[in-house]
Amino acid sequence: MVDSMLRRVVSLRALAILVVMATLVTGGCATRPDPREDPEAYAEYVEINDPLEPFNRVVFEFNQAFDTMLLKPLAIFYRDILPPPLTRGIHNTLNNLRSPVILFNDLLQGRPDRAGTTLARFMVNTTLGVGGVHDAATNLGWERHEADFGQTLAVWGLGEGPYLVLPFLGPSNPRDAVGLGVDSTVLDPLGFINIAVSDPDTALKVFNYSRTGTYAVDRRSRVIDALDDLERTSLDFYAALRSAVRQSRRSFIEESTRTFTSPAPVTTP
Amino acid sequence: MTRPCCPRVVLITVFALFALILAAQPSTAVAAPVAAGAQDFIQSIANETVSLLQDESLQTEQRTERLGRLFNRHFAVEEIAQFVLGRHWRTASESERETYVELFRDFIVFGYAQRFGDFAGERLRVRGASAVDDNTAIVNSEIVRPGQQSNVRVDWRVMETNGSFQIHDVVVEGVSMAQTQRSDFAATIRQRGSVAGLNQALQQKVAQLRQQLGLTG
Repeated sequence: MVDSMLRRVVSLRALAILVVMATLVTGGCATRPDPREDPEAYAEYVEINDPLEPFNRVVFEFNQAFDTMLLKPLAIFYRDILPPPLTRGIHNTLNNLRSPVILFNDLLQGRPDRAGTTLARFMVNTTLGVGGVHDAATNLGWERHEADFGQTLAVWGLGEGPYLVLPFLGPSNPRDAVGLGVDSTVLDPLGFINIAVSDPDTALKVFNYSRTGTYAVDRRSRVIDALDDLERTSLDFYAALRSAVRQSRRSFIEESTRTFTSPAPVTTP
Repeated sequence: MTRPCCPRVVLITVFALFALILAAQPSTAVAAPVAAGAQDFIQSIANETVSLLQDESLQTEQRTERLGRLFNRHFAVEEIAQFVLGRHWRTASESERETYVELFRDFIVFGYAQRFGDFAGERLRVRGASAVDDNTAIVNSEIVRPGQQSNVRVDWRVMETNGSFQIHDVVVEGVSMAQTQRSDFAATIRQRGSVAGLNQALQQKVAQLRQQLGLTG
């Protein structure tokens, strides 16, 4: 167990070295304006919060190439060619497999109401929904919500930190990147077994890899139109996406700290 | 390994959680007059737009033109354009500003026209509204797509001036269109060095959008 964790740490360190080297090669940090000379430009710099922009743009281009060549075609195939009942079943199953992660995060965020919903959904969908293929819980009034450890850290008061584009994983920040790591190796039971066991079962490894791959395609297939639209109607797609992702993430975090309320009904006389 | 805990404790916990779910009740709030007005305003635009999109006698050109008119009437184009340009509005020359606002208008209209081009029976369900201050309200709505399980959440920032309403921002799933464009344009100005450079980029973009719509001239 220690051995396999050590190997992971070593490969993480290799990634960190790669990031630093790439940053140096691409010209280091974005130039920071002098707050005394140009306070507005400085305020903009702080708001954009992307000191690693040159490096991030390189990774972004890499991700775009990966997306164009592999991920997006797969997502289009998944959305437009595969029969909808099949993809709906896959989507529901993947969602159901994420239940433990959502449940732990609901609890860590101090939201027993949301944890109750997640637990109820997991029990109903695993049994009545035949292993999660069918989302029976939504029809019974337990609507699905997402939760992750990046969000939990935010609820605990941790800031997002500078913008960070991760290879393959896309737009993120240090807080959410850590969150992703914790979700997939500690809070996810199957992920935890995978790293905690010194010699994981091959079947489990294969299952985890296929699950990650399918999850990526399923997620991508749901934002095909939205991303196409943003790219089409923006001058600098990188900058537009950076802003959109941040806002969407903030709204997602706010959602978890709000109590369940529907918008105030308007009474017309 | 830890010893499995007592099943009764688990059962009690589960019951407690269920009780909490049942106890959660939606709250109600009293709506301000501006909220009610804004809600009716958005509902009427939605009806107008859907009937425009459903009118199959219209050519792309006519439809785009009518959408443009609708947009110009109901969106506070100049205010939005100014917000999007941010601090660069003040440093821009009068002629740069004029060019910019006109390009911005086309940019939005052609961007929307394309989005509406893929119309497949979507419906806007207006869910409610809340007042921000005496003349500003946020109208909550969602786009209901036939054959899709999940709806798209859309919030409209509406302002009332002299009894008439105008849209100042559209927020889709928590993402403000004006805010995103502001970031986008700031980055473009940084790369191109000036508002004139931004106008150049906008012009190219508008030409590209027109071409994609199959419009000429």
